[in-house]
Amino acid sequence: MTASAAATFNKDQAIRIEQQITLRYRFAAGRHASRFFTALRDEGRILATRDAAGNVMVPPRPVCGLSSLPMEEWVEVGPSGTLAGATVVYVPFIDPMTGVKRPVPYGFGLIRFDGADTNIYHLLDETDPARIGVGKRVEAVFKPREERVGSFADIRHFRLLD
Amino acid sequence: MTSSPAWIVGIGHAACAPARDDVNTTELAWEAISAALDDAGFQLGEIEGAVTASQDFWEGRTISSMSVNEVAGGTLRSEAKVAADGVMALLYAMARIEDGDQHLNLVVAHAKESQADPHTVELAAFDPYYERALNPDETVAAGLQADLYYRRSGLTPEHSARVVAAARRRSGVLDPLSPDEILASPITARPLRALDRAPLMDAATCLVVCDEQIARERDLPRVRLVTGAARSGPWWTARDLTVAPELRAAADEALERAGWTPDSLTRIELGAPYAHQQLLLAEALGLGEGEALVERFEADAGDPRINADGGWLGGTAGTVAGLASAAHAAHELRERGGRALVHGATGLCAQSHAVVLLEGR
Amino acid sequence: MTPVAAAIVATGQTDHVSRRLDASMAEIAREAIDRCLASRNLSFDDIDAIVAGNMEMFEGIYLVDQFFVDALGALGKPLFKLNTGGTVGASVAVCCYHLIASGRYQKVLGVGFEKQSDGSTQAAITTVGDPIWERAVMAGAIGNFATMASTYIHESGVTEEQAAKVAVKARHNACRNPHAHLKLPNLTVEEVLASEYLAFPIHRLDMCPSSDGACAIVMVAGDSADGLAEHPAWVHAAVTAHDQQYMGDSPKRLAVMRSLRAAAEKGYRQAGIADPLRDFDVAEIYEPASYAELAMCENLGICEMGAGGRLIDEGLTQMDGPLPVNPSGGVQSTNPVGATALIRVAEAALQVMGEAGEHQVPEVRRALATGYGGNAWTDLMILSRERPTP
Repeated sequence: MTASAAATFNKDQAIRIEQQITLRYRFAAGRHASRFFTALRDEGRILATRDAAGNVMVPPRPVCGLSSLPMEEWVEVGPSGTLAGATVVYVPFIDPMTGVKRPVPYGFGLIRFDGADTNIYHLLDETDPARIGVGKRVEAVFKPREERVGSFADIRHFRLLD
Repeated sequence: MTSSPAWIVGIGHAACAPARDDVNTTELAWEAISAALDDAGFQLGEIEGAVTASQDFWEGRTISSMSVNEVAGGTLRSEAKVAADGVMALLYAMARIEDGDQHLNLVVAHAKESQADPHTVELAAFDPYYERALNPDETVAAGLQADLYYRRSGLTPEHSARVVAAARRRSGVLDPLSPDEILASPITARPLRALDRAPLMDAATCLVVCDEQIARERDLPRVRLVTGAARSGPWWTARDLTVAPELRAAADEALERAGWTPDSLTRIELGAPYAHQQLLLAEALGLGEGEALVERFEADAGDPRINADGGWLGGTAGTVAGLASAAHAAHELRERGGRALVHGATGLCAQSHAVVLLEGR
Repeated sequence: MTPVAAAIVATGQTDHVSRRLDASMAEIAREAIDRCLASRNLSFDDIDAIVAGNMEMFEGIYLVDQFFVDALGALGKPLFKLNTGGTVGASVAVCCYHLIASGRYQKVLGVGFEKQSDGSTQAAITTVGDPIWERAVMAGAIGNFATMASTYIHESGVTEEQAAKVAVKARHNACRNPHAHLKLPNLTVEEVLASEYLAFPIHRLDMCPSSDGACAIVMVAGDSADGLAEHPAWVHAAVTAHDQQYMGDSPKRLAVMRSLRAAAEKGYRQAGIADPLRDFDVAEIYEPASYAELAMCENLGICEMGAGGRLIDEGLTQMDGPLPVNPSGGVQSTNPVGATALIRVAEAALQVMGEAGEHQVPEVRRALATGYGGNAWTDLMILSRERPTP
């Protein structure tokens, strides 16, 4: 549209077409996730993969990008860990699993499971910013066995240990 | 300038199937990548970078290349991605080697068509203002195209069925089918039947590509990536769906740059999911018409053979198809020599085209 | 191997706003392209290839490049479609570079566009998370960024006030950029600190906006460059580096940006940069929020690691400092995702070409442009007034 046309454009006459497309997917979890989530669901254990260079990665995966080595060993990590980053969220965000905005405020952070070289994002059971921080010790709080389905949400959140 | 030619030195495919429920995208891609690395005799740690191809809507993920970024050698390295058929990824990979920036790369195309709802994904490709309200998908557009093409060319669904049957016969992945079985499959969008189209699959293909120096130092069996070209076509409702002048122009450009005559080709790969599309693309390249053209698709001898390993109809996925064909062509060329033109299409009714020329030593 | 020398000779942008009700996404892409071509009296006949960047899941248009073939001027030409997330605009520029440096094409049009108001940004951002591992527990871009920032704050000691100074610099700089979205001439540090927390300690005014916008560049092979622009912006480095696969993999993700360090190391080596603060005259850095700019300056070696707070306190990156960072207003002022990283490159090119108007930094010889996105990915370009020596 030319500059002059834009200048005379009447916004009240602008048409906006509402359209909704629902995209459904069926994701195969694959070998690593199947093993990980089975252990999480059935036993409340956190698994990771390790390569010959000693890198321990959560989530587990076929190859470590840093070493380029296959990650062939499975090891257990956690359930306690250390905060590598933390925040308290005040802006509601639509929870992809429920389609509903998660109530605010809620704690959110990066957790380094004991024994792992990577962090995972998860919820924190704390909404006071003064109580959270890098280096704080935390522990996974699992949902009861009957509520666990094989998902990262089988961990309800992490609670501060001190 | 001085430029380094690029070479294919490794080929790998994941086991493709209608639903690989045992692997996720990362693992599927890794299957193809590790096969290609083994084939070439390289470790992932030696790889300098990659160019991948995937479509976010099929993958159900924005920035879908994130799913393969680590297994493709992208960590702290130069990993690029195109949202188009794998031949476009190959063209980009060639440029990065020819200009000296990259020396040893992976080219990976992957798709898990089993995971998405095809109708809705394809619906999203239509004009949101004028077309989506009619709830179309790729089959509808292809049906219109097939009807127009049969009227113009005089070819029939029986001819298409023979093309499908020939592909199935050559396929290492799908079971053979007779033309009668194809013609007995359910009508999807008249005059098309279900088996006129390549089945949806989970697939991944990887090529290891490198520069002249590495190819010579390792003295690997190799295939030269001679040159390539690409042309975009008009929107499906704005063009004659029965012809493909953009494919012809891309092929002519590539052949001229290579200094090849068309009759020096020993192998041609045409990447489109419907048999009638493959026929019309072959016509566009001057490979014949009518019954004689169909016989060329069916022939197992004579230069150039068309889709000698079955092509897309022989079992692979969209986005992967062009790269899979390049892999099949390269596999033959490095054993027996020869020259191949490999084509991949992107867009509704094969709207846009990319070609690459390969030469075996 | 001697690559063909490549230079950016033209740029164009739309005036970025939160909603373009008057134009479709195709039209805003075309607007940027038209402005770009018109600036040098170029037409589509001059263009050999097109590279387009757009995050199509945002607007919900699969194969958007095919739908936009006319708007992009791509009929009968090669069209490379990229969608690497926040980095996509810079990936477009990097792709343009390779298409020329390889000798394959002479004049390439690169375009990035996004009409965030058309789509559901939140829904699309949700799909950033890995469907199997990450989507079950997500807190949106804000929660993600604030967590990253907390690591950086812990490492560097950067204060909310120092971050607020960066936010003020960005929106003041934007006032001298006709294309920028958020122009806030009266913004103060106090006002930033008084704006509500989105996620602790990130204030609303620390974060970038969501914009409708497009940007285009024309990059040409060496022999064509001199006739088109008085001071072509020659490409001295075009580098991509990514990280590992999952959001938490990079242990100190923002504080120690592995991909940025890797890209800078390679790019600086290629372009002969020994001391970025001294050797660059301007930088356009992709900073999704105030804190990020400081973290990125540290990782780019513009200051020492941990010294980001002092950098802004001492004003070294202000318009009158030795290395102005984001004279355009940066991402904090304008963010149409598909275009944002290309805007960094285009703005860096404008600086080198001497055509940045009111936000021109005097006597620019070398400029740095970066793109950021995905899982802490980087694209990096170095542009210079001097043609690269073969």
